[in-house]
Amino acid sequence: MSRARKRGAVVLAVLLGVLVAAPAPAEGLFDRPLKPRQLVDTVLADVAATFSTTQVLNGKFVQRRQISGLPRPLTSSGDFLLARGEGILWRTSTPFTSEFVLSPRGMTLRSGGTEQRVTEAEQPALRTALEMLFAMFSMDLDRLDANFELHGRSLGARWEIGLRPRTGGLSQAFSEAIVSGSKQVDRIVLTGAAGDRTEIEFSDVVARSAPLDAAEAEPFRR
Amino acid sequence: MKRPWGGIALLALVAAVFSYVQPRLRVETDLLDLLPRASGDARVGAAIDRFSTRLSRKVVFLVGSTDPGAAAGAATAFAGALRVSGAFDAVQHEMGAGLAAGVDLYLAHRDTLLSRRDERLLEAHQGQQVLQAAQLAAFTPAGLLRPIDLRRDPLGFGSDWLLDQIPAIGNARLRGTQLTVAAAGRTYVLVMAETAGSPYSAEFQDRAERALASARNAATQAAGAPVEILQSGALQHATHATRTSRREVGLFGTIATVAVLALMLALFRDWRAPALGMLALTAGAAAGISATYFAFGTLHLVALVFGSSLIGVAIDYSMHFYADQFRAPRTWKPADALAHVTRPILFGAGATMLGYAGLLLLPFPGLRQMALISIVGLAVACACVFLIFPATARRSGRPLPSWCARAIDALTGIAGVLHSTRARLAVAFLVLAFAGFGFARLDFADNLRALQMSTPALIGQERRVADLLGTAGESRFLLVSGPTADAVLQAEEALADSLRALQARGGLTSFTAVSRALPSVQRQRVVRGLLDAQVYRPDGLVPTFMQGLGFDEATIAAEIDAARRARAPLTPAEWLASPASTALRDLWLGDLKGAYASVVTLGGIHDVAAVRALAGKIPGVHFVDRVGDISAVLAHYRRTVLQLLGLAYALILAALLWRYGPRDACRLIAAPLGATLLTIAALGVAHVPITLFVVLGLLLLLALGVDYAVFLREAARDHRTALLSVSLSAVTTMLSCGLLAFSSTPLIASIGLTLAVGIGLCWLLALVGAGNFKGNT
Repeated sequence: MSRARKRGAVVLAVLLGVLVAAPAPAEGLFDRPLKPRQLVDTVLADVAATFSTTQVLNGKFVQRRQISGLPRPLTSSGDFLLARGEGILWRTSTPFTSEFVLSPRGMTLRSGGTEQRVTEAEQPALRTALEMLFAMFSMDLDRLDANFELHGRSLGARWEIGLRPRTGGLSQAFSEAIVSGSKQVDRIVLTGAAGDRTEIEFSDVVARSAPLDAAEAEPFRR
Repeated sequence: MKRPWGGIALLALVAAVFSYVQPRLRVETDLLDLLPRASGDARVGAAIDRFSTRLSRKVVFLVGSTDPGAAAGAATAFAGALRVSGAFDAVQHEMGAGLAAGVDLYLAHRDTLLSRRDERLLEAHQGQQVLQAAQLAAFTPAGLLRPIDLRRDPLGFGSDWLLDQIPAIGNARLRGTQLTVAAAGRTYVLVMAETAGSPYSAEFQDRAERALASARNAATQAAGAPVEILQSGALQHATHATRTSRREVGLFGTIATVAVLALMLALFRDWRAPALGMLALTAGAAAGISATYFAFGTLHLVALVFGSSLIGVAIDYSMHFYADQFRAPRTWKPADALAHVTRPILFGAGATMLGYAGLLLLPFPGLRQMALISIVGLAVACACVFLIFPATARRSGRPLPSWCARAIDALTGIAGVLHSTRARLAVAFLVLAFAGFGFARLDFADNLRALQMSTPALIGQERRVADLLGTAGESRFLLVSGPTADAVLQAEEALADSLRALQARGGLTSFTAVSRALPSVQRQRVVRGLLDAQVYRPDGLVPTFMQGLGFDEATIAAEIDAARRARAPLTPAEWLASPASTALRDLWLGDLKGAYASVVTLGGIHDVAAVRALAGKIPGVHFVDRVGDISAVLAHYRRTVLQLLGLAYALILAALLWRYGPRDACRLIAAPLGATLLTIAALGVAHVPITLFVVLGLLLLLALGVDYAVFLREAARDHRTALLSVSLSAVTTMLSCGLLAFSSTPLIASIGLTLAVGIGLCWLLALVGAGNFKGNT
């Protein structure tokens, strides 16, 4: 056997190996729906306990939003803070500085020195939306299960959870979501019905089981 | 011996008619059916009736479990089973269905529809704020909350409009497509339905009960564990009322009948006496029920109960007939009895029937039923006695049993006690003192809710549902009417502004109006003006925003073009035809032959006066408080019947004066009058409030009291027999009515108590009065 042929065989074997080892990304994840319990026992076995005890989660994010008809994605970055019972604080630093607070009392948008509030009484659906977003960021599987069909798989040290909205409801805003991570959630990809795609990447995420201190809670109180 | 052909023909006729009626008979339990309709605009009144009927058909279920998934599955199975049962309509447990249709409806009219918030921003020329919010939605997760994608709804106006449409049902929140509430570690899923038949129809209640049982089974099976199912609505209370009342009518009727028949057997020592008595009773009851069916189509439960107390009255005629033998036991022949008892029986029955006939004149469906069932029942029982008894009774008389003779002597003794003037004065003083004391404590009640028939357990369940949902079903609502559909919607919008102000002050928890989803054309024009001027023009908000994001000119032009094509206002017809209107459609009463109307429902009214005042301020708005209205009607008729009672006394007194002269007339009227006053006083002492139904009992008391007194007066020459007849009559009536006093239904219990106490007193006073006649002769 010549060296050339031998090398060719090795390359082929490596290529085959790569093809076999790397599962096709979208295929497989949505094969069959799972119960929250099943996910906790298998895919999320290592991290489920951390998720359920987490009170506060904070870190940095980059959001890229691809909208049909737009040549380039809408990109923003900044930091976020999630606190159980308080809500979500989302601060962008680029392309503009803004603050978006979603709490059980309603929604507040602050940007360019102005502030807009929508109270829960004005739009009762806000609370549902908050619960849904919060559940997605903090991997509250029981809550997600009420609104989505759950899927999941392990990818070595990483895991992926697939969400498909159950028929109707507010969750129509997107047709499919994939939440993935290792120790923490670090990536969320949402695919919209009209072909829109939103990708949020998290970094420097810190989870803790202690509640917010007064200074941290201040944005939720304003 | 002559065969009683007339009697046999009568019985055959009654039997034939009743066998036709019996399978068709429906027993109604709705108290509202007893009452006359509220006056006012007939068209609007009819529409209110229709809406109130629908409201009374609503049933709310909470399907709960510690496992949210199990609760969701159980609710789906429960709703599915209700749907296929045919006993429930409009079963709703998933709320998202209208949303997709809502998106289409919005996009088709996007140039005329705006959420209140966005409308206010544009009115205040705060386009900058709209742009900022849109920027945030494009670049942050705030955009994930929007049900319409950015390209079709760049500024989020459509999303805001749709979110505005999602109603707040108290604490209930969407979980997936289901509305849920969480409390004490449990998740409850809301399932709403309407009964397919009247919740007050006994026949429908049985169907509903079967459907509910199989739905509960389905829910338990789907959950794989026990689920808690809470129910709220008129159905369960009505079902309970029917069950209880039927059981009580059956039980009390049986006890009374058995006791009366046993008394007859002991007294007359002849099996034919109770058998014939029973025959007369049954024929009377069957005839009364049949007549009511033909006149009204249904039979109300209260009329049936009232009719069952007739047992005591109708049996009187048999008693009078049979008691006649004690007058001359050795020589008595049944044919003799007629000569002696016909006149008193006819006079007494005539007085009783006249009393009932008065009720026929009132515009009260319930009272007319009671009157008819009583008049026909008594007439037929009476006819049975005259036509059948003489030919069928045993041919010879027997002497009065010795125990009975002793009892009569004792009664005569009581009557004799009041022979001295001093004793009479003392008793009169005591009676007056008691009456004064009782009258001072007198209490009137006309609140319909107090008369409703239910149990603490069911009321507790109702309250738990209200607590969990954070809102109670309100029977009060606002009716908006106007000459055109748009006038109604405009009035609604003016009303909504006032209601929101009231909400902010805490006077009201929530309200639901059609105009939230279907604004008036006038307002849609205003919105279109705002959108045209600030949003869809070439330098407007939409082009500015889309250019900023990087959309090309063609895409922007297409968006503006699409909006311009969606400038026709949304009409009621189009809205009603869309699935998006499912949740609010019932509130739109629509075209009522020349007038248009809609209903604004209210939740948690804390300041009734303020809501009522709004109705006066905005033209075309009426506050509808059906329970309150009915309570007012009850109060009105309570007063009317009291006056009628006074009139009846005057008429009867006039008749007695003409027949017996002033002295005896006063004595005769003294028995019912005294009994009535003392009964009212006794109710005051016992803290039983005087309701319309108690007053009706007093009317019956007048008829019976006159009957007793006249019977004793007419038969004064044979006092012992007459005394026996009247005493038997009083005892049997007291027995059948006294049992009603033990009813768990307050309404029936109060009638029973009034009659039992009143007849006892009537009897006593008639005896005392008769003692005086005897003294005079």
